[in-house]
Amino acid sequence: MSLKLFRRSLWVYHLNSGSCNGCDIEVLNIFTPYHDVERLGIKLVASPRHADVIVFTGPITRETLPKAIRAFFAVPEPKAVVAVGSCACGGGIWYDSYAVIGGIEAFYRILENYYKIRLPLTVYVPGCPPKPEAIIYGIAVLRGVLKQKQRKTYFLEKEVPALTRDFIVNLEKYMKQEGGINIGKK
Amino acid sequence: MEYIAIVLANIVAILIIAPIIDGIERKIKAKLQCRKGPPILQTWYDLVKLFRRPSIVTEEYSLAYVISPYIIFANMTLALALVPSFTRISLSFFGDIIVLVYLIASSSIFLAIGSISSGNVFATIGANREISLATLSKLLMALVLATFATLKRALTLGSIFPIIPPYTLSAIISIILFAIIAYIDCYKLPFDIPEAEPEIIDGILVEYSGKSLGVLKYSTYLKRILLFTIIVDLILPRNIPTLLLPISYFTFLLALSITYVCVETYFGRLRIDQALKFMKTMVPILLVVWFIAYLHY
Amino acid sequence: MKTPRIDIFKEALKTGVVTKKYPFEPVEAPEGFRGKPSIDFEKCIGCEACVNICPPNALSVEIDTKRGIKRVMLFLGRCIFCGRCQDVCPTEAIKLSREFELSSLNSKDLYQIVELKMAKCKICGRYYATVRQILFTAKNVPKDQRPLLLLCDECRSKVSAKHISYARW
Repeated sequence: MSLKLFRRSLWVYHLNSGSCNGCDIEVLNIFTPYHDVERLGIKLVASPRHADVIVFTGPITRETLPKAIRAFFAVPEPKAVVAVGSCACGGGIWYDSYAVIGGIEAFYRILENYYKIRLPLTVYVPGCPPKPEAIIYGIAVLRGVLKQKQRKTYFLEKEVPALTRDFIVNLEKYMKQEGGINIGKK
Repeated sequence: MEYIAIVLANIVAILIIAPIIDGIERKIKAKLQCRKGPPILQTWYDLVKLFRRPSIVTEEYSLAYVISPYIIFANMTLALALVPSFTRISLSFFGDIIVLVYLIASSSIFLAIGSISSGNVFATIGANREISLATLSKLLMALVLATFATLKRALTLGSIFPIIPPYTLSAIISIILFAIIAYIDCYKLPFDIPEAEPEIIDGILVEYSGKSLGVLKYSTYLKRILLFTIIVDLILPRNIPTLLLPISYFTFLLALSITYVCVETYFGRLRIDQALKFMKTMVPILLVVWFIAYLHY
Repeated sequence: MKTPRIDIFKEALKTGVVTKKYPFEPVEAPEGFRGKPSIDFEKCIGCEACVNICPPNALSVEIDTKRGIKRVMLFLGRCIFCGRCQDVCPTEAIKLSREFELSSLNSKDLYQIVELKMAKCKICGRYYATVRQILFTAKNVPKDQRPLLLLCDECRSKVSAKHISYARW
């Protein structure tokens, strides 16, 4: 992606789409003297026309959907999206509510179906709300400065003991013998 | 031929340092807020990024919206050619002081026209404020420059600068007044009413994006440098050797911008009527100073 | 006391720079911070206690009746880090770590999936619970009752009803 453009300068437009303001406070937190992301060239702008990145907070309620779409198209290409908080990442606690679209992925589905556009690069920052450091880390991942630590983990149980009457009755004896089954070890 | 080359070199040098001066200002502002602050070249990085991005136009735009950033930029570069900066040589002709006032005033009119043509409501509010500030601040600037012209009995910038060697009362007062007016015209904090960021989301700049936004930002920095340059020219003594001139000019420029930033950190934004009231009180003072200058005091 | 405005400079000089160098040096989350919940795959028994308690349904469960596999899925993108799954887990398999750097460019990276094998009912042949869950329960059950654990819920109630009625008669 064309993120080389944003390597030194990144202007952020903060779009609250029905958030509870928890994430908004954390997003504003990264601009305080303590975290001061201006040293990384990140600046909060008020107009989506000036922005490079949209910071989505909130689960995108029905009321904000048309506004969110307008703001999305007001940002010039190439753009990127930072989904901050559980609500923006996957709908959060309201994911199945009738009043809510349900996170950035559902939003993208709407955009794909109705506007047929190429989706922008998106970074998901889970947390309820995420730490300010987590947001900074997300932006660093987006820029390619830091490597992504989180990977999908998948575990498949391979071997299970055959459940026989004898085995289950004399469970303690078998467990001592095999030593491999550590079920319920506190 | 040499003459034009020197003027062009001057302009290019100013085009290069203008964002750097802004970067230094941002750094100092950050230090006053106990932050680390952006690198000094940050403004350049921002501008380069903006120039490489496309501009989106609104649905109901007109020609003025598209071309006004470039007109403003051209105005500012031309105005920079008129004032002597790194060298004593500048585009100098009879009546260039009037052209200077015209260029500064017309750029702010074009800014207002361009943002009104974008069709955005916030831009219209910003343009409204811009015009109501500009009518007064440009009048004040014209009055101050007229005072200078009256003091030296000349209409050429080359013969007006520097104003100070006859240490008259009117000269000193008019320099102080010009510094205040320049501060107002720079869109520094108590007077950044047209582009009030949290209030009317960047006001006049709200619909500009990409290249045109970059050009507009760039011309804002150039305007600051232009006003600083005029102040430096007013007080820089004439007997400085030519080799030392660029260094002394740059130091004065830096000192001015640092002073202005330190002043800026004090204030919150004024309401539009407060700013207008402040400027209205300056008009009679300026008229009196003009009269004193006419009497050679 | 009203402080004069010149004190801004004094304060700035005294305080210096307070900014952290975060992305370039690591930051430790404070003690008791509720960060990324991670499932210990060796300990998980697939009992669905966390799935039932999870407020935003970040934990979900799927039962593959053909292959006999129970799939417990944790989607971090919806997790609100409340820590109730940690409280309710009988084997302390799910725990909230202090890790907070969870950002990812793909939402699929936010999944943690555990697939556990299920046991067949000895009478009706239906998959009814994971092997691990049966073994975990068996430890707390008297030895003579344990064979009943090899049956699914319905068969077990039928069999035990039969036992009771025989005993009465």
